[in-house]
Amino acid sequence: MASPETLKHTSYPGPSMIILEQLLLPASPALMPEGKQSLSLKVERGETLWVTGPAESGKTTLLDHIALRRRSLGGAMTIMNYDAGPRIRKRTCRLLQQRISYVDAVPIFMERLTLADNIALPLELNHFHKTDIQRETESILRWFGLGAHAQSYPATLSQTIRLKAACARALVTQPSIILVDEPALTLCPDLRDQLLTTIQSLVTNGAAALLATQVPPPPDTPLAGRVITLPWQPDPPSGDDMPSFHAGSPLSPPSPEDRGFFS
Amino acid sequence: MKRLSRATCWPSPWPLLLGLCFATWLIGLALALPYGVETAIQHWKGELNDHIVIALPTTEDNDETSQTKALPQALASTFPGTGVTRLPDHDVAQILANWSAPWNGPLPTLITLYYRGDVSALTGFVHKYAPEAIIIPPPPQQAKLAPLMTSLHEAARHGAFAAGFAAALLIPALLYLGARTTALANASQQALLPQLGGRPSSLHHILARRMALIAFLGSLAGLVLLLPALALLVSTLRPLLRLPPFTGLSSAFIPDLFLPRPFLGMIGLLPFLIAVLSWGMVHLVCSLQGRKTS
Repeated sequence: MASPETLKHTSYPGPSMIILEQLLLPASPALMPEGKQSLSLKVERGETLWVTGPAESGKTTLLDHIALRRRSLGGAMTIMNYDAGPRIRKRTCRLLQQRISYVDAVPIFMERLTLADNIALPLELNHFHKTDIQRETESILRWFGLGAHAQSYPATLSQTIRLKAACARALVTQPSIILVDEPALTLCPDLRDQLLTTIQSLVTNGAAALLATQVPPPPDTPLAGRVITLPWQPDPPSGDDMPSFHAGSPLSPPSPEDRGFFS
Repeated sequence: MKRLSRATCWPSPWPLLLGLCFATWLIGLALALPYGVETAIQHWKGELNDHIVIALPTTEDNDETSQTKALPQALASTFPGTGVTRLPDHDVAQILANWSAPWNGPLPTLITLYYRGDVSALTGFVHKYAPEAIIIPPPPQQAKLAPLMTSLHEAARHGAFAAGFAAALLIPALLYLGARTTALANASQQALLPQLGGRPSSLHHILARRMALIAFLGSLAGLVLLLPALALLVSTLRPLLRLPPFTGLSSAFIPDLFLPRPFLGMIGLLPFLIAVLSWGMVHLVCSLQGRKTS
């Protein structure tokens, strides 16, 4: 197992980026009578997973858990080969968070910094060189068309621009795991296409992406991937003794036929 | 961490500066008051005339010289440790002038000694050598002024306690308030930082440094105000306590404050101490806030 320090500057060599085992997630009682669901899944390196489902089905909570922003109610979670359960060490948590980027529904910014500085901040926190910070920041600002707003403060900008900036900030470090919540994928088609194109290139280089939407992605989306639907309905036992939610290994993903695997 | 430093809000400077300035002033006063009053009173006591004066009137016979010479030696051997001194002529003239009695003729011989025993025994002893000697006991200043000195002591002690107590309440409250408002003003930054993979402690360091700087400056201002305040107090009481006049700016007013130099050095450490306390308080409050929100 790699030491936490090596996570910072090297890509993760293992095949599984995220492994969830019976992770307990809350869900609306209208969708799940128990008010919770148990989810097991595995996301490999270079894989994209679309998480779909109606409101209150647990999509954002799932992303929050993987982003290590919430404590799990039960079950086990392994991220990049590290146990990310309740006993995770602070240092490991911080180093994992450096490799996970999350474009959440309502992004928070450092309101006293300009947009450019906000986007450059993760690079500074990762101790990048000054010239690299400047180059990468200018490059991603251009890519997302944020050049005109580079010196503006976040409070003065529209929600779409803030979401674009959040995407730029999330991707500027070229993370190993990318999590995107719904608004960034549905608010503006241009933003969605730019975002998905960028994520596609990162996934091709070995990153893993989880994208949450209420509706399944259209067939012409630039980023193809596996789709799961929440709330999770375990498969009914098929004959014999099969308590797990699907056949085969409890960690293996659902079959494409069952879960609307597109692409 | 240039950007992170720019992203954080400074603590509100004025309440901290003024509050800690006043608190430092109070601490200095609380420490200086008992010292200063005690030293001033000791000085005052030293200035009081508490010696017995033996006056030997001048006579025409020649025995005066041998008598005058023999008496101090006899007194010194019989009453050791009493500091028997024959006053020189100019001191004698000054004392006679202070008595405001016209003195005709040659100056008498005056012998002083610090004697707290039975005056009649002393008188009998002196009269064996010089029957015409006059024994003048010290004026009863000490007895009359003792209640005043006790009151001064008490007042200084109570004043010091009140000032020290007020400072002891004020400083932690101010530091906590400053740290808490700083932490709250930077709550969103503190929440966002771990999400970007940053260490909350690096934010805490920045906030703690800023708070320590403000606390240091406030405390230093209090110290700068304290010394003139003490000098003013001493100069006001100077005529009342019959203290020596200021010896000028060159000798610095430090000796005139009746405070020992180590004490002044100790007071000089106050800004550093308060800066360290505020630094620690910010770390504590930010850590607690981080735990609650995580």
